[in-house]
Amino acid sequence: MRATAQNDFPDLLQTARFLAVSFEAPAALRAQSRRLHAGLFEVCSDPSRSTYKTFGLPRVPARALLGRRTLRFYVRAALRGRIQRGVGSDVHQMGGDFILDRDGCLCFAYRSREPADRPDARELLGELARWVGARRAQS
Amino acid sequence: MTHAPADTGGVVRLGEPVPEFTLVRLDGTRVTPESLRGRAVLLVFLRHLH
Repeated sequence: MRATAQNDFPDLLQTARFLAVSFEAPAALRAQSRRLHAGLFEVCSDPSRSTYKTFGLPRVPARALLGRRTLRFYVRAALRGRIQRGVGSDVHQMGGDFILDRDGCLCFAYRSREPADRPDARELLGELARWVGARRAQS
Repeated sequence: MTHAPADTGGVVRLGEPVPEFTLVRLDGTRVTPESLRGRAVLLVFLRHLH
């Protein structure tokens, strides 16, 4: 995502902050900080998931994980070597993407409904750029 | 971009200030809504680590 931000929205890195929140323990996050783009994101831990609840991110039932799209997502991840030690601590917890404006108001929300349901990084950065008035690089 | 349906079911609502929360960075320092004010923020909530 850093490369996309630098190439497409060069102002964003100065005008916005980037936070990645995980329910995993800090030690697990430190071990994978490079994969978590820790150079771009301020990585935060929320083991109690209270912030997940605040932002309305649910744990979904098993049947939500059995769709064709989700299975394809995990097969692809495995083939790319991204699943090395099993599928993780809690596959039921959904993630999401949110943008807060300068005053701390929520101005964009995307709540994943299944594991494969994530917004495209470029579109997400475009949305952020729109809110901060950052220019898009000339292509 | 497609939004999740109508921002329903969540505590935080579009256009409203986020309620109090506390996150802890890996260096132990804390992040609160107050500490985020002044710049726009992209908050990415992750799923599990593989």
